Amino acid sequence: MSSNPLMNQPTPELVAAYLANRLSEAEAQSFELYCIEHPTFARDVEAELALKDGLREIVARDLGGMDRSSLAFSFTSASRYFTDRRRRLLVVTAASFAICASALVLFQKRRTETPLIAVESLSQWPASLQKASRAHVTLLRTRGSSPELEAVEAGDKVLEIKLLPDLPISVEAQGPSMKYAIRITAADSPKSEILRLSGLRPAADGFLTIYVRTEILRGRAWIIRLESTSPPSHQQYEQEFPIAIDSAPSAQH
Amino acid sequence: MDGVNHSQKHEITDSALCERIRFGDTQAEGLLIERLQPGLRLVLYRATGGNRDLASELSQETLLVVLKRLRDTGLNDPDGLAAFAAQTARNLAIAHRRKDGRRRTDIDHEALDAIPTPGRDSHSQVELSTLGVIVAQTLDQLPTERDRSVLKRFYLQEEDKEKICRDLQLSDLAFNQILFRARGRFRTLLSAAGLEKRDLLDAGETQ
Repeated sequence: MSSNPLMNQPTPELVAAYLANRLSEAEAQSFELYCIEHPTFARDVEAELALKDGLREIVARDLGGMDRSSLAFSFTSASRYFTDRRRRLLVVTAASFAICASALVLFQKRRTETPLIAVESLSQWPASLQKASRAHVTLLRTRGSSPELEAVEAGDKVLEIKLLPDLPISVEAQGPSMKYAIRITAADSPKSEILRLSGLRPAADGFLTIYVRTEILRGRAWIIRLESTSPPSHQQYEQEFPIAIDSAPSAQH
Repeated sequence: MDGVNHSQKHEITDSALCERIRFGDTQAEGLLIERLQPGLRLVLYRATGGNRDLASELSQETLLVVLKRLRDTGLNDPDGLAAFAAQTARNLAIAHRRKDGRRRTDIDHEALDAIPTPGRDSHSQVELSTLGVIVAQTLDQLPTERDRSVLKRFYLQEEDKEKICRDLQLSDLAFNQILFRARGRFRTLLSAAGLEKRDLLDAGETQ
């Protein structure tokens, strides 16, 4: 039918890897080509994607609408929560106790562990953070006024930061050798660098994504610096994104 | 697809479809759309960073471009139809991103908030979409806490199957059965809600 190297139906593991964005660009494109050639299979993948998105939505909704209790709690109680409102008060009360206990445990634990964690993909998420909820911030290049963005978060969160390099060429045209580095420094002290990740490549959508623990950013303004690192012959690219994480959970974006 | 049954649809090759469209066969155009659209939506869902609305809109646009090309000049290699459609979709997504970037001259918090962030809605949003409600019902119908845990760890935390099986002392077969059961119930509920025949990626509308 085509020159697609993926001739046999992808395994469930491959589907899972695709949905988790763990495939290389070439593998992902090959998988997508198979999907276009096999619409019934594509619909199955769409159903899995919908299931996954629905699960995320439930957790996100609970974290926003309730007292942002732990992810595990939110998940198991999600459906019952909105079908039986009488249990809601009990659930919230129990959750409050659970949050206090968790906070105490986390406080003790954090005293001995490094607060700085940044990873490039969900698959690299440390197990200790997998129970934490994720918040998302997307920062785009803006011109004119200050591009400062305030992200409001509370609790022990992992912030997903997506950066879009504003280059006049596509990801494909940049080629595989085009890489970026991301640095985070305090806004009032440019020398105080708390994080550096290099060798980053944008995904097919053009975004560079990193995950950072909110805890290390809260209560201060930061500058995220995005710069191209290779190849040297390319036009150098550098861009800054201010960001502030407010510790007040009730504040608005 | 009036006049064309299920088995016939799959007997028609891409090459034959292209030829029929070239000669003005509108029924063949319908078949082409039905064939390409689910895969194109996946391509564009990823290419737009998980923006369902944009992916849906661009998939329509892609089909228009492909159809126009097939009506006008056809393809040099009709067997490469799927690859041509995929590349057209990606090009449209890239063009849209560039256009969007040029338009943006000032910070627009509303626009930033509207940018799709898979897995995270705004804090103030408390209502679940149709999809969220159906997934919640699916969870309710799973027989054990262990089944819910498998779903959470596999789809939400994206853990490896092997690790989940090891932790929960599940065999490969048992793991597959849990997922199969969950997917089956999900599809049944989707169908009961009249969503299965619609675009699944459009099911995010709030009830």
